[in-house]
Amino acid sequence: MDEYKLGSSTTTDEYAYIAKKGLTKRLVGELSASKNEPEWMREERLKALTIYESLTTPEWGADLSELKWDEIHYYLKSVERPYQDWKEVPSDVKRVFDAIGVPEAEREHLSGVTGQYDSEKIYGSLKKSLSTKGVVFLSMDEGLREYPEIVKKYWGSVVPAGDNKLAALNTAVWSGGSFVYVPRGVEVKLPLQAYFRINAENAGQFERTMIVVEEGASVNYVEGCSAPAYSSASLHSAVVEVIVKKGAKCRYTTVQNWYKNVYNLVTKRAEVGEKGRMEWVDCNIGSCVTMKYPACLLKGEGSSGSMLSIAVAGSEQQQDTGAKMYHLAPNTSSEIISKSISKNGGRASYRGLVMISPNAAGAKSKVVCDALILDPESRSDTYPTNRVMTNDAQLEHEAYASKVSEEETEYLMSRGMTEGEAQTMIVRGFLGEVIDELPMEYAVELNRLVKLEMEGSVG
Amino acid sequence: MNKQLLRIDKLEAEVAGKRVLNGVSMEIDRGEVVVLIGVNGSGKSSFARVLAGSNQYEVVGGEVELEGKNLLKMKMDERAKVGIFLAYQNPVALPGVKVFILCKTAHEAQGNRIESVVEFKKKIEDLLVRVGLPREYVGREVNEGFSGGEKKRLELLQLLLLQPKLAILDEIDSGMDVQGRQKVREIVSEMQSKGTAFLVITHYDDLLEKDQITRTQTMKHGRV
Repeated sequence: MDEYKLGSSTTTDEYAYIAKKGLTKRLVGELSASKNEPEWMREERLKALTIYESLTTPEWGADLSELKWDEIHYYLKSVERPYQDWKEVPSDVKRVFDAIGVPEAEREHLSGVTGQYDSEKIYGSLKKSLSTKGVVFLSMDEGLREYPEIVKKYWGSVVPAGDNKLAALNTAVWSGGSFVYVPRGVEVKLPLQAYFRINAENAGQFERTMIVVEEGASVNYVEGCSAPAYSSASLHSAVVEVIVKKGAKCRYTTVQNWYKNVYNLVTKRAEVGEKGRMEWVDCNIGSCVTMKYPACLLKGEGSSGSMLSIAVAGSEQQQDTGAKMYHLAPNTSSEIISKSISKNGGRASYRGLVMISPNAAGAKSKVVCDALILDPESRSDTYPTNRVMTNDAQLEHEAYASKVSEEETEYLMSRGMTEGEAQTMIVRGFLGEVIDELPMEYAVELNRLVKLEMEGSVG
Repeated sequence: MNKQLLRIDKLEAEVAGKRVLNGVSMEIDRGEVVVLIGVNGSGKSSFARVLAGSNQYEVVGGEVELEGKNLLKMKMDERAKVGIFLAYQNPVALPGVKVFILCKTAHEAQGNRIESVVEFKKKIEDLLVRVGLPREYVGREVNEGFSGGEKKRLELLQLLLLQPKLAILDEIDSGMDVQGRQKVREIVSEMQSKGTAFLVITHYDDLLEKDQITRTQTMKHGRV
């Protein structure tokens, strides 16, 4: 297998289309027209653009002042049509996918795979046994074409365009992303995997994902992200809407390893029905700035939500991550586990909200935030917000920040480990079992990245 | 093979600007057991950690050679790789790091290859039993929730696993019960016969049998 190099990119010379830098009404209109979208979607986009222009850039979280919005290409089309046969995929693109185990992994461990380069999907497949049961795994564009009623029914129902400036931006210029539909009672046991790559310089990637899990069904969706090394910034701003019906279950795992020039500003939210369960597993290693707080709207009685968040903030990185749990019905439960590591001047913040509404009697929530700080230049902050509006609720909150003591490093060095190897071991110990929650190939990848980050950074 | 293992000449060291070693000289041959005694604060533990290469101490003078190689130029991990082992007086806890992983990584870091993980695990379990710890500790987090005596036993285990040329035992007997101290005697005796040299720091003159000890030296005000 080729060594997967973070920094490598493939040429954009043969791209089907690259929009001029900057965002205009004309671009939005042309984008919609080129995709032959229904009129309602064109209107959604234009409405969202107006909202986007009326909202201010958030100032409460990470620092976005360096982001040059006008320097971004808002749409880049790498290929005319997605490939369905792996043999047809161009060889330079293939090498990147091969290196990270797509679609090798597909053959054994996955139910389906899609790959997106910049704005458009380039490859996709789904196991036949699932498609015959009515499971759908397509790009969002294909979803809109082939299942317009479903898309229209749920579009913006969980994340409205006006939710925040970045959600509005995504709604205006979205392209690609995944559309997943799991019919009633169908269990998709092996993961569906999507792989997103920003390939071009100054690229904007605005994928839009919708996952609908019907009553009693279940699905496990995994996405990985990467980008090559460029000196100028790229922007990734996705919106993800998940609809988990009565008794259904969804696990959504992200392993984000954008290059350190990418602003990663993402809105992810799930609506959970009676006795349904939503699990977010969110692992952020790359990007220069990430702002991401996946949410669960626990609307059905007895529904539950969980978040497992892992963030690594290195030199010149801000990982501003967390979760939001809205308890909107009785006997709902939620759990947030956040583990962050900051080093070499990096900054990791946990920002979270637990809201328990007046009609959520019997609600339970537990939040645990662990931060590991590797050196005095690095920083970790916790911004938890709890709003409890009923007397009949249980809420636990624990937060720990620990520094790697010289004694720990010294002890391991006295056993023959270099300083970097010692820090790798301490960090892996800190992450502990949470790594086991990741899909196997990503756990291996995360271990490798931790090793690379720790051992590459100590002099 | 040259008999002499370690040569220390007028070693001087400071911690946070405070002088802790004032010209320590000492020679240790292979298979020798040198007992170092002295009151609290006399510099015994500082001496142990300076020899092991702790970067919390600054060496300001003198020479240290192991088999003719300048030890002072080596980092702590490099010293471990050439055969220095320090059993800590207060071993730290390593949250989330399993005993097995520590042993495996340390063993490999010192240039050993592990052919079979299953057999290596069995080896660690046997060593656990040997030092008086339950077999199941192979899956425990290093020193997390261990009693004082258990921590010391885990140091003994690593000593047996890594088979150093020079073992520095910093108050290995503190917190240990009678059986634990007996283990120390047995292990020192066994490794000594195979040529390992020991520098044993203790407050008690009965830790080792009289005939095991090559000589006893006293440390006072950072001098031997």
